Amino acid sequence: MIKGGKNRFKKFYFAFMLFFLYIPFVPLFLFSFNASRSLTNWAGFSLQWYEKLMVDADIALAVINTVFIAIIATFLSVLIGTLAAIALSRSRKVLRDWLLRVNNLPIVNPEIVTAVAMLLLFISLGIPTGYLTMLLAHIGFCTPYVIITIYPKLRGLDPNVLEAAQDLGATPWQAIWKVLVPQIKTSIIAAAAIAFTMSFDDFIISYFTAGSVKNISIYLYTTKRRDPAVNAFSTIITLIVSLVVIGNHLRESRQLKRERGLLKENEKTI
Amino acid sequence: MPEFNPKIVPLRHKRPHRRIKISGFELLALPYVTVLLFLIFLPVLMIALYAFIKDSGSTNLIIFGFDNFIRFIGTPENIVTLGRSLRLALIATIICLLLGYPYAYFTAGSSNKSQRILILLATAPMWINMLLRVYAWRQIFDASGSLNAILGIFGVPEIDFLATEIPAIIGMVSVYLPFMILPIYTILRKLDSSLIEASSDLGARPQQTFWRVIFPLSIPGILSGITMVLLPTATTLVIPEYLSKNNYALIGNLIEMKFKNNGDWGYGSAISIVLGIVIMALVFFANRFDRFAEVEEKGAKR
Repeated sequence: MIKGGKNRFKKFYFAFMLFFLYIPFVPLFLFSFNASRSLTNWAGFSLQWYEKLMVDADIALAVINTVFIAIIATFLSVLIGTLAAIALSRSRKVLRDWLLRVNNLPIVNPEIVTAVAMLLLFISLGIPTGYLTMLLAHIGFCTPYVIITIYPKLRGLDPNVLEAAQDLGATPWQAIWKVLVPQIKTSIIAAAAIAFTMSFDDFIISYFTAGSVKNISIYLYTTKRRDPAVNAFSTIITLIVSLVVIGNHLRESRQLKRERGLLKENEKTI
Repeated sequence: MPEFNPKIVPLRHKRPHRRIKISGFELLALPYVTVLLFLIFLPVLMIALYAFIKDSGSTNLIIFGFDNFIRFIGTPENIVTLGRSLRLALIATIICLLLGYPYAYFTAGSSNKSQRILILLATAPMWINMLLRVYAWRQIFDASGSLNAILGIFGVPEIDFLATEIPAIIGMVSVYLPFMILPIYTILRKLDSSLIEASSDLGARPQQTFWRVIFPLSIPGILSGITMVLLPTATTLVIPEYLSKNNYALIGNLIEMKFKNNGDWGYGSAISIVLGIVIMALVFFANRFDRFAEVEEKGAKR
């Protein structure tokens, strides 16, 4: 384990970093409760921007679009990616190497290049841009990340287990579903989380491929800049994200504690 | 698709219908291969096609040529824009490294509980939509923003921050800092503590141990951090749009303009290809550097 440096410097440094990371949110929250339109002068507490947000059909539609696309894109890319990762872990080396090479294209390529490329494809094939093209694009950029999350885990597994399952009378599908999938469950969940957030927060690729459809990011980008309703919207999103992140942290901590407790009990019995 | 080859498979020929042959497993990748082909490979091919198509004046006739590329190189403004994109990205990456390395280092040296909390604090903003975080900085740096309001209390006249490059750099650093911290932290945490003990047992001062042992071993983490920050910052569309006065300040905005406003697809494609090649070259060199480190390591072992 590395030993830390001087304590006072360390404290000052962390204070500075956290200040830097979190300071932008302060005016954002503050002025979402402002009674006036101003983003600098405090005119008293009010919830009017939240009220405005609740009746804003554009924002509601953007949220629905984002969630809807994210759920479908996550489901399909995880399904396609998991099956492919299983196949890749057992395929010939030549095929695997080539597929993984193409797989890396959207990961090393700048997002804007991927976005432009997909737009050109849809235009050339004469597919009008909209929900469908946006969904296809999201599947296209999420699937490679699903592969790089699940595939390494599969490679680390004992290949004989699947054979054993089949020797014991399982059909191939049973062997995959009841033996392989449970072993890579955590990776599949991780891949789904990655795919969902990537789709949910995507801007550039959606911006180019969605036509007139707007997700949250496109709405934010194309809407008027200085609107306290956007502050209210940001505050709500930040609140939800914080709750999820903190909840996740607490759950993991509890789990760790339980595991450590079990270890200690085991030591006692030994 | 592979063909059935009895010479390879006969091991279990008694129950061939029960066993997935290699080719059978490969079929599971069919939807994925379709996605790769149509949504990843073909689009990249299209971009190349558009970039090389020359305006022939007729829709029936397609001529290929380097016109779009010559136009790009021949326009000094474009080269300036590309240079500015790379320069800002480089500055932001260096600041990320200088700020992020100590964070990763101190975190890796803390107790398990503080490690989890410090990493949580560094990564939590990543889960919030990037546009919202950039929008938040905009409210700080705006001419009538928070920073000017605070400075105004002290009698400082209004400063037009957005006319400078500082807000864009700060925005880049704040958005992509976690991408620098995480890979370095991952490497430092896994570092074999016996190496550090051995170094101090052999009489190295803490500083020497850091520069001679810890830092060289963390280079792979630094390199992946650099790639993960440099790539998105050099191609960002949102940050200059929000955090600088000049909307077409960086190369990403130039591509956006060609596609969204001008409908100049061939030209936009050519710029995208140039950008893609420049970025891939940078990534390639970073990886090569990493390989040199590996070779040195192996040499040292002998």
